[in-house]
Amino acid sequence: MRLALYRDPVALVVGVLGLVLSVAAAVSTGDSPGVDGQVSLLVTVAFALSIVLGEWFQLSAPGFRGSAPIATAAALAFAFAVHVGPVELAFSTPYVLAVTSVSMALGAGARVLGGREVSLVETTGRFLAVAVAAVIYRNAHLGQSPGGPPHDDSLVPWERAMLMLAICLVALVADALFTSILRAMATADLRRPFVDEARSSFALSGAVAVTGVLVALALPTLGVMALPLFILPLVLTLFAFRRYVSIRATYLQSIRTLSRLTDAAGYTPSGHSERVAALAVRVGRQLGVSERDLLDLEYAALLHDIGQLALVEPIPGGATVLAAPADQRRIAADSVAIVRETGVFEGAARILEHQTTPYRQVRELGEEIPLTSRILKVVNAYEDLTAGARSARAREAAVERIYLGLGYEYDPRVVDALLGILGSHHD
Amino acid sequence: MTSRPEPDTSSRLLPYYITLVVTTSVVVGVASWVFGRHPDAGPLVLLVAMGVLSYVLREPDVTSRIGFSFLSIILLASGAILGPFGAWFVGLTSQAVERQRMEWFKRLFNVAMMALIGVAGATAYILCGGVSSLERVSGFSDLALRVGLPLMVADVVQCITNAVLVAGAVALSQPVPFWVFVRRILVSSGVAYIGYGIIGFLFVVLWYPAGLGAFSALLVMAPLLAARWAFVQFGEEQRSHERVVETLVTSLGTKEPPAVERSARVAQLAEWTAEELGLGPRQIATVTYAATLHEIGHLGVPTRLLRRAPGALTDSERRVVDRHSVMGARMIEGIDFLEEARSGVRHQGERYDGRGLPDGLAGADIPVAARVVAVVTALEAAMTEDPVGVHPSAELRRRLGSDTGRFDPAVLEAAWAALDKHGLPTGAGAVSAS
Repeated sequence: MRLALYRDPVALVVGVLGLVLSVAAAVSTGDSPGVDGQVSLLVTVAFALSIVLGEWFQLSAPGFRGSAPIATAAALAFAFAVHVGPVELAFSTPYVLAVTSVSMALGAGARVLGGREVSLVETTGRFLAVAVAAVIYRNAHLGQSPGGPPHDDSLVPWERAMLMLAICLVALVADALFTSILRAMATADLRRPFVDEARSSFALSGAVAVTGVLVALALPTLGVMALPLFILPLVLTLFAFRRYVSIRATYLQSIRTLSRLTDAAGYTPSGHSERVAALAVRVGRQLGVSERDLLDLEYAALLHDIGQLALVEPIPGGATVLAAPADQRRIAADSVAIVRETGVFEGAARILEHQTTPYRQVRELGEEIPLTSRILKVVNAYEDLTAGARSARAREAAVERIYLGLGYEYDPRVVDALLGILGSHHD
Repeated sequence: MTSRPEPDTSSRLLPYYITLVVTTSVVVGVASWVFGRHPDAGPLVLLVAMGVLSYVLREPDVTSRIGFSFLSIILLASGAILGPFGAWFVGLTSQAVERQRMEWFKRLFNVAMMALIGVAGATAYILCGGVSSLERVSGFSDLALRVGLPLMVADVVQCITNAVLVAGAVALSQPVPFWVFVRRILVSSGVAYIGYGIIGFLFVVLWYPAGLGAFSALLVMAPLLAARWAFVQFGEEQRSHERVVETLVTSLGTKEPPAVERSARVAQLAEWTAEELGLGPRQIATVTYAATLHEIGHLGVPTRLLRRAPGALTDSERRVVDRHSVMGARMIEGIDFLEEARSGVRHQGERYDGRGLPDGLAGADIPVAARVVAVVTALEAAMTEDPVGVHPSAELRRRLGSDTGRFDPAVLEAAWAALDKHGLPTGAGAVSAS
């Protein structure tokens, strides 16, 4: 766990190193268009501006990898830009990387000053991708030396497009690898962060890479105007992304509202679902449940009692653990039906399905009950039995009741984890 | 990105409308072949394939009425690359591969409409001075003036053509006023429809001036798919709202099963009334949500009180039941898109003369959603308890009108007009707000 603390400093060092090295290389090799290269300067300003703005308007949402699509697309195009209109640009890799890193730093700095969040890991990852692309295309492919002209590769446009797309792929893999190595320092497992990383950003990164390539391909025809024109669809997509985020927010809000319905209707003690959810997530984390499953567990816990709405008379104290097994199952079935109705919380519905199944069915019948369902069962029983009371006596009484069902009703491993958390909390 | 209607068979005028659209489309197609240029086979085949692909990849009906695809962008590019006949042909063939069964006349209408949209765009392009020999254009200013600008006009023309043709069919098959529907389409997707038209321009630039040829079709798929994703979000947003509202109604249904159907009937009546009042799309949605959820507060009322007949309640019990509007408004607090509908739930018991509950608001101070809910719940209750056939009797009209000061007279009038037009809702279809 402690290694995670070093993640950001490592990224900071790599990022600053990239910034300093690229600027130093550009200065020492004299790789810059100078004041005469008016077109080159105009191009520089346009790209630098796009990168700064792109870094400012970042995308981030829970469960989504943070990214700056406009900055990445512009920077990739900058790495590939050789001709603008009829003019050949008079700079090479060090200059490109110096401009890119300075612009990214400016954008990130503006965000920090504006009080917004900046992920150093992701910003550095983006810079790394651009560096990889520029080195492969300019130095390896075009054989361009700093300050020197590019060699003519006599590729027809579609061949060039294929080449650039392939380079972008390599660059994006480098980015994902860098980010996941830094994340893996916390978990000591590289494969999973990398797969998660690649999966969560695949579609968006693809669109970004193609946009970068398209800008580079259109620069000789459209001149600098290629940049804003080809970026525009990406900008529109960012608005759609905002809509996407608000859709997810709507579902979350609806879960909170639904979880409060039973409180408002007087079926459960106030705040019961929230307490179960908070405790269940802690127990789940203790037992190594993945973040995605934890989210489902939280939703399931928030909604686990909603089936009680069907009862004519509330159960005393809303404690389902005291209800007859048949009633418990009916309440659970009603909860599942309501949660399924949303059509988007299938994970939570699956947890709720097994909410009431006694643990012995795992032992005796070999039935598969998800760990998250077993957690919910134990935590709900505990909360029902303490009824929100936090005194040591209420806790001991509840634990005693749970011990009576240990191994029959409840999974001993989950109960141990719960007791561990309760102990550390109170002692 | 293209709107398609799902016409009903209910109207007698509809077949004539479809015949008119189809005939126009055929005539225009023939004319474009005779007078316009003939497209090259290679680009034509490619664009037809992209058109078909866009239709196959379309978002399967977002609501019951409108579906999305990026066909409009393909049609726009076709207008510049192929000319009017080519664009007509791409529109005509776009629905060659059909995954789901659709009645033949709907399909015929859709095909004719797509072809017409294609021709309309291509014609606008030519009229605005768009060039047809794209190989010879070079330089940004030339491209902007002789390709970009004409394409922009063509884009707007396509969007309007689409909206008007669909609204025509809907206005004839379902009694939604024509302009309400045109506005609904333009507000919900018009900006994005026109904005993403830029991809059509970029497609053309890549194809000819940048020299990528047919390969540009492959590259441009990335922004097209991004556009599709963006459009799916429009639909998803609406669907998320409907799902949340439905889930809340289902929750209520577990406690009070008859409430589900009642809520659907009241919501339908409220939506019609709101349309009749000429409200905007957003307000219509607010009114409908408020009507759907008007009884959500029953969740907080003891079941034994809900099961008793209203006449059998004591005064104090009566008060408990009446508090449901306040409780309901509190329950749905915290869901952003229901924020406006919330006041409609809370104030449903207000009287137009200001002597109602809970806050004694009067006249225009009462949110319009609350005024509509008040009228339609009273109507629904009266008509369910005393079924009088499809149309309300004069007796009922007099009874509701006699309680002067209870209802907003304008809303009452609109509700009667809606009932005359549509009859009593059955409560079969659940929520339908847009």
